[in-house]
Amino acid sequence: MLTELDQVRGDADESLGGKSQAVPAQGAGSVAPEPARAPHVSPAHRVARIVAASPWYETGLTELVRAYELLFVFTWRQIGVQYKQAFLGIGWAVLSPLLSTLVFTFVFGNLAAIPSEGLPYPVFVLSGLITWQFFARAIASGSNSILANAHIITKVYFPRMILPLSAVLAGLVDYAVNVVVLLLLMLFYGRTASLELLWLPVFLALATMIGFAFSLWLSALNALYRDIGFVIPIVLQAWMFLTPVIYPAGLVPAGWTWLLHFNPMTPLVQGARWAVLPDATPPDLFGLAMLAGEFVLLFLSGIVTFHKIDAILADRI
Amino acid sequence: MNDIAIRASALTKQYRIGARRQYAQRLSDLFSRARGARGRTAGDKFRALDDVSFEIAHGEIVGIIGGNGAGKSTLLKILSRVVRPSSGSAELHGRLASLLEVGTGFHPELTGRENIFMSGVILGMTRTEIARRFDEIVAFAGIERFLDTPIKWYSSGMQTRLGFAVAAHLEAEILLIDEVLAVGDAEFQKRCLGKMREVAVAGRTVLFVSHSMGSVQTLCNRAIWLENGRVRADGSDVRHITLEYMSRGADYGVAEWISDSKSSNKEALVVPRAMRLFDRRGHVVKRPVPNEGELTLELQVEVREADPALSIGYGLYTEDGQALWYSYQTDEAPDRWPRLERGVVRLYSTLPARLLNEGRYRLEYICCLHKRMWLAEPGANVASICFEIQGGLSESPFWMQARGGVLAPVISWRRDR
Repeated sequence: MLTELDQVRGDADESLGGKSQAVPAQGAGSVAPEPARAPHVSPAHRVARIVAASPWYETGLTELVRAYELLFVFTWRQIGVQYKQAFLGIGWAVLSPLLSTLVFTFVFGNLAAIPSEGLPYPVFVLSGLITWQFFARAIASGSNSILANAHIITKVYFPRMILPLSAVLAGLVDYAVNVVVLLLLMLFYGRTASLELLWLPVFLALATMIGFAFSLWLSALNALYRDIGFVIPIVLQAWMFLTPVIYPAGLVPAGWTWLLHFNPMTPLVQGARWAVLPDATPPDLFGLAMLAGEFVLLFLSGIVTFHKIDAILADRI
Repeated sequence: MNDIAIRASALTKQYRIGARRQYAQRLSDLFSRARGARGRTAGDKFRALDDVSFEIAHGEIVGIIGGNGAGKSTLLKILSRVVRPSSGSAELHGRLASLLEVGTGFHPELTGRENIFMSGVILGMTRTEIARRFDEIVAFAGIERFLDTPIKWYSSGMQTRLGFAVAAHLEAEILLIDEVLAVGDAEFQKRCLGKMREVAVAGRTVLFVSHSMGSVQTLCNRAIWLENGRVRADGSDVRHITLEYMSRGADYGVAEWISDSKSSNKEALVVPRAMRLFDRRGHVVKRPVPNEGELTLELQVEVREADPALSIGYGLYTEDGQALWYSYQTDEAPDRWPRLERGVVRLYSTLPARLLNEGRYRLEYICCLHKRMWLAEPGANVASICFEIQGGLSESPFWMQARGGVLAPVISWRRDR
C-alpha cells in the first residue's frame, strides 16, 4: 500500500520552467506535417464509469471475452519469452519430459519395479507426465502471473483475468510438442495411437479449465500474500505423488481410493493416458463427476475472489 | 451536455499510512477479518485526493499542476482505471489511452517489432490499427535498422523513443499523459512537443500532468491546480494559474528576510538585519520576475566593530544548490569600496538583467574578515532569500521558451563587412 505513496512522492522534483528543453520556437515546423485527423469520437459513444466498487455480479467476464486480442498478445508473449536466450530454445519442450521419463523409469520402473498396466514403463510414465506437467506449470505460472506483471498493472487498465488465463494457455504449445514426443516414443516401442486420440483435446480442455480456476484463486491471493508462492512448489510436489502419474491407480489400496477420487487430476491424467493408449485404465465416471463439481465450485468462487481482490490490486501490489 | 469527455464527481482516494504491522498483529488482523470484524485500529489516513470534481469537454487540453503529493498522479491513475477511488465517481466518454510511463508492456527479450504490437495492444489499440500505423511508428522512433533486435540491446534513449512513438500513435479520444515529455534528448523532446500539438489540433482530449510550467503554458488551454488533494484553481487562464502556482508559499517568491533581532549573537562583529530583493520599480519581489529587468539586492547589516578586512556579500545558488557566484562589496578596486563604519549600514548590489536562466535561485548572506576568518561562511545559511525568474528571456521571437544551460545571457552577434 505504500508503493502508491512512494509513487506520488517519488515524482521527480523537476525544476520548473523546462530548463532541459532547448527548444527553438520554430522547432515544431521541422516535424513532418501530418494531415489533421478528424476528431475520433466513436458513434456508439462508449461510456466508462469509474466507481469505488462494482457489485459482485459484474465480474468482468464479458470484458474478458471482448479483449481476446489482448489475451492473444499476452499468451504469445509468454510463449515467445519462455525459450528466448536459451541455446536449445523450444528443444527444451522435447528434452525436459524425456529426461524426467528417464529418471522416473530408472527409479520407479527399474529399482522399485512399479507395474504399468502392461505398457512399457517409459511410455506409461511419459503419457501421464505430460498432462501432469501441463497442469503443474499452469498452476505455477498462473499463480505468479499477477505479480510478474505488476509493473503493467500499475500503469494501464485491462481485464486482469487475462493474466492468469494467458499463463495457463501458454502451456498448450509445450503440450503439443510433448504429445508428438510421446507418439514418437510409442512408435519406438511399436505402438501407435488409435481413434481414441480424438478424446485427448477434451481432457486437455478440462485440464486447462481447472488450471485456470485454480490460477484465479492463487494469482489474486499471491498478489496480496506472497506466502502462496512459497507453498505452491511444495504442494505440487506432494500432489504429483497423490496422482496416478508414475503408478497405476490400481496400485492404491482400496481404503485410499477416495483420495484419488477427490483429486481432480486423477481422471484427467488417466483420461489423457487412455486417449493415447487405449490399453490403459479409462477414467471412471464418478471421478469425472467429481471433477465437474469441483470445477464449478472453484471457478465461480475464483471469479468472485479475483474480482474482489482486483479492485484493490494496484494499491496493494 | 453531450460533448463532455470526462466528468469527475467528488473523487476521493484515501490511503492508510503507517509502519508495517507486527507479525502477531497481522495474524490477529487476519482472524478478526475472517470473523467479519472491520477492526483495523492503527494507521493514519491520508487523502491523496479529496473531493475532486470537474468536467472536461472534448477537445480540451488540460494541464494538471501541483506540488509533489498534491494528487496529480493519483487522479490520473483513477481516470485510467488503474486504481479505484475510495468514494466518488467518474465518467469517461470515449476511448481512453493512458500514458503513465513510456514503454508500458515492453519486454526486453522481444524485438522492437514485437514490442510495438505488444505495447500497442496493451495500451488499447487493435492489431489492425497498429499494422496500419506501423511504419509511422518506426519512422518516428527512428529505429528502422534495429526492428528485429531484442530491445534489451537498445540504448535507453532508443527504448524511450520507441515507447513514446507507440504512445503518440494511439488512436484514442482521451489521452492521459504523465510527464512523458520529461525524458529523451532535446531533439526528441522537440518532436514530442510537435506531436502533442498535432494531437491538440486533431480535436482530441488530453489530460497532461507536468511539473514543467513552460510545457503547460505552451500546450494547454486549461489548467487545474491541485493542492493537498483538492482543486485549488481551475480555469482557462493558463498563464495566470501557472504563475499563481509558482509564486505560492512564503518560501519562494517573497524575497525578503528580516532578522528577529533578539536572537542575534552579542559577540558577533557584524549582524545581518535584513535582506531584500527589489525589482526595477523598487517593490520587493513577490512573485516570479521576468528576466528583462535588473534586480537590486539590499543587505542591511549592523556593524558592531569596524575592520578594514571586513567583506560582506552573498552567494547565488541554483535550485539544486549549485553555486553560481560569490560577490563581496570589496570586489572592485579599493577606492570604490563602500566604507563600513560602526552602526547600521545598507549595502546595495545589482543582479544584471538577462543573465540568469528561468528557474529558482537562492541568495545567501556571507561575511568574512579577509584571510582571517568567516563570520558567515557559505553553506552556513545565516540568512537567505529566494526568488524566481520566469519569462522575459529575450526580445527575439525565436527565443520564447527556456533553453538548457545554467545561464541565459543575451549576447549580440554581428557579421563581417
